[in-house]
Amino acid sequence: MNLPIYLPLGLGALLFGMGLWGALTRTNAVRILMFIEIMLNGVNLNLITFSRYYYQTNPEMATRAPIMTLFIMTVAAAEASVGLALILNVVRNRGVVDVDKVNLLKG
Amino acid sequence: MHFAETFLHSAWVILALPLLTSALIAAFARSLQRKAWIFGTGMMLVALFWSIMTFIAVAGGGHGAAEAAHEGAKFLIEPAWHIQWDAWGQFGSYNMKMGLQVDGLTAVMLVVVTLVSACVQTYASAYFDGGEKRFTRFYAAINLFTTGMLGLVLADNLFLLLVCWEIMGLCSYLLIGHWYEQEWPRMGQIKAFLTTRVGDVGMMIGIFILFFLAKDLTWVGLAEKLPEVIAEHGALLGLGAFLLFTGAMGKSAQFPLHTWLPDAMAGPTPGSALIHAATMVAAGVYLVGRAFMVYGNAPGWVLVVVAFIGAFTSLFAASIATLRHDIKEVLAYSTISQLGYMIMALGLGGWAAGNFHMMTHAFFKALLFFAAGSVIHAHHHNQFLHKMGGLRKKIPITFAVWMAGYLALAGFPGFSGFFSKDELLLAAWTWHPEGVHMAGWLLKLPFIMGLTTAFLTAYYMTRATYLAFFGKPRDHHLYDHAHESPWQMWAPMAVLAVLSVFSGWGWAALPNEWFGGEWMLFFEHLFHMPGIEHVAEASAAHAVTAMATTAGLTGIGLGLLLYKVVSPNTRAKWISAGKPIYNLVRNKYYVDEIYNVLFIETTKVLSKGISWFDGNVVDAIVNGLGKVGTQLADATGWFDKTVVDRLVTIWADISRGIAAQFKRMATGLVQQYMLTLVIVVVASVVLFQVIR
Amino acid sequence: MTMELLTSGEFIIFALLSIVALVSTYQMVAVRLITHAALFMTLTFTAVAGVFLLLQAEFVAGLQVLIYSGAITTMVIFAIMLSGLKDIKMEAGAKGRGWSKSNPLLMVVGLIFATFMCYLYAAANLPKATEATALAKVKDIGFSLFSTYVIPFEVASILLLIAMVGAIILTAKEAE
Repeated sequence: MNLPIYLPLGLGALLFGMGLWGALTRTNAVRILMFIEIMLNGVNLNLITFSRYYYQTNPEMATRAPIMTLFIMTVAAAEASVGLALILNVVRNRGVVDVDKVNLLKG
Repeated sequence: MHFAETFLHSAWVILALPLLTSALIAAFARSLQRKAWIFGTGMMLVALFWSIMTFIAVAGGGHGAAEAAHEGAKFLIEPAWHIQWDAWGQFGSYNMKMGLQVDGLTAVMLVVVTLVSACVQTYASAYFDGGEKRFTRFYAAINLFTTGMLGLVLADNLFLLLVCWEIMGLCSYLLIGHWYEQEWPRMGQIKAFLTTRVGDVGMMIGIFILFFLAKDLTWVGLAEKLPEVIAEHGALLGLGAFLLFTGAMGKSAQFPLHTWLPDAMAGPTPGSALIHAATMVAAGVYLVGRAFMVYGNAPGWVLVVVAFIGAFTSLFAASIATLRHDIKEVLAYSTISQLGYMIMALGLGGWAAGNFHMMTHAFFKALLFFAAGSVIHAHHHNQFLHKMGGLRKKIPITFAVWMAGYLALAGFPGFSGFFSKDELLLAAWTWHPEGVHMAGWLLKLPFIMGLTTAFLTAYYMTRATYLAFFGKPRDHHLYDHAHESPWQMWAPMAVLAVLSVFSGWGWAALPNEWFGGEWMLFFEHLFHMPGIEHVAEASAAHAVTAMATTAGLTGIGLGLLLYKVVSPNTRAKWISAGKPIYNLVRNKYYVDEIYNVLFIETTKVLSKGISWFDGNVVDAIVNGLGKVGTQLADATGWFDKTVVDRLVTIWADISRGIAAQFKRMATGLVQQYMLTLVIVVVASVVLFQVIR
Repeated sequence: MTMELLTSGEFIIFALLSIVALVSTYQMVAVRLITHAALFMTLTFTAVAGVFLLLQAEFVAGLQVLIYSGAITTMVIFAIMLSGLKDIKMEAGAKGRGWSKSNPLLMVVGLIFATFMCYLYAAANLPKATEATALAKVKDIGFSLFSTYVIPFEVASILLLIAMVGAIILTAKEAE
């Protein structure tokens, strides 16, 4: 394994940053949800990279990152399902899917 | 014996089967419909078979295990089978372990619960007529309930027991409120839930205390560690044991938490038979019996309190039952009274007697409820004794099984109740509380109360029997339409009737003497509790038997005398002579009313007081502050206008400007909030780096 | 970076996968049709799964393909179709409206974040690449999942159940 640790970490950071960019600029709620998934993916990549480079000698520690990742994926799946259900409800009630048209909380 | 051992070593199946059945009935409710009863009963019969085999294995091979008391652990029955799973998690230094175990007491309870449950499911199929909307719901709930009870008796620790305890609480709520369109069931279910909750809170605190003391909740662990604890934390252990008992008081309807049980009769009769006669209410008794290592090790006063609460409840409820008009209500108060009996026996150290009576009571009380249900069914849902009469000719099978149950409950010689009651009174007679000094008359008080209860029990059951089955029909319309129940109803009753008659024989002292067979002794081994010496000379046993029999027969005689010989007019005259007492008992000692005043009215008064406080004191303060504020504002306004007018204008402009800026932040746009979040996170990380 | 690294198979595969992941993420932002964005999302996920494989985390790679490339993509596409609005599909492209006109600025925010993270990594003393010796096999993961982490595991399953029930309740039409 010759790959320096900075490369996968950098890829994770870039995925996170680009997901953030998309989530901040796109107004379609479904698309925002998609970018949030991308951000979570970047985080997962970070976790796995660290475990790969730190704990390659200790199998007991090495199992932690995959399990942590599994829990992140679980939460992500739960969040996506509830989020999409909420979006469907908003679409049904208000007829819009753009988050900048939903501003009931405007001061 | 090897064959039976196989079943013992897979005893978890007994727990899994009803759970599976419940889930399947709930999942396929629409396609099963009325067929749910065949499925449910079939599965329960398999579980029953499994339990019987387990029982045989324990009874046959359990002698040695019971004799070999655990090293240093008093009041512990060595389980015949025990498995533990330890992957429940590590909480601090406590590695939580939970598992299942089977010993003599558990084996007996398994058979009782599965048998009664199978009977209930058969019986209910005919009890519900075609128009019943929630047929499958009832079956799912009954099966889940059975799971809870089986889990409770199989649990090897207090925590799992509590979980199953609450499952039963939920199911009893569902079953009492089965017909929730009506007022009474709805109120009854809430009352049952809340009243048992009062006990459960105490029970949970008790469990916390026990865990704090022993750092373990398994029965084995408690039995090992509590003897060491007692020297240092005796008072706390006593408190924990007593609080644990409050849970049993709630579930087993002991005074003063007994009020829910009569109202729980609002549910369908088969459900009442299972819950409020045979199993759930026995859970409290079972808890005291199972957790005897707690009570045996705790200071002596705990068991004395337990005994007196039990004795008082039994007498109190029996006296109420003498004047009930509703056939199910008579049985409900009779249940409370009999549960008090069992609790009393356990408190007196008559561990075997209490559990033995729990078993026989489960059979004959379930039978009596079934028979009452059959009468009600035959009588077009009339429950009032004074409208019945002469039914023995119309419904002969129901009459026959009722008589079996009635004689067992009344303690008629030869029936199961006779033997268990005998053992129980013997335990009361030979009571020697450890570590508590009491006056001589106090020592014999439980026995006297028990004997009076036996007399009253025989009396009120004779009264109910006579009113329902003998004499002349009082309501000819209902009488003419009465009809015998279908086989699904009388078959389970017949099974239970046989058990009501014979279940006492295997264990009792007298048949042992008569037949001398060694096989009669296996119940002795099953119920043997290390740490309790069974000391009863034969002469005491005979004297107690004679007294108990006399009390029972006198009660039956008095009942017959009052209702067969004495004319109704004379009865009315006697009642008016003893009017105050009659009213007191007739109104159940006004306990419900007292609770109403104590808790509901007090709450109302309290809330009125708070409302007054709110209206007069708080409002006054608020108004006063408001006035002060207004005057201050006036002063400031004057100050503003005259002195710092310009300055203020500038400040106002600035704050308005800031507010406008802040207002712009609240755009209601999610993405702006997100951006703010990101900026704050990045800024704080940068700040953290800089500071470090 | 040495020439040796640049020509090694690992690096070339990693570079290819990264390019695919980053380009398709950019495409997710830029593309007009939301269904296309969803497909690009799948591509990103699959490329990241490749990176996971490269890092010798087969278990996570499998999860990634199953959950992200499979389940979540399907769910997103279903949501797009179910919401049934015409203008969802024809959402405006890179040209936003209102306050989000300053897209380049926000891209800078994202990129600043990424560079900031890279700076943090560079500042930390991170281990060098070595040959793998003992790695978490699926068996080990499964074992610790059902022994050490069994309670969190069950809690996660309850969470999923609750999410499912919640989603059903939220989307189900009110019964008459």
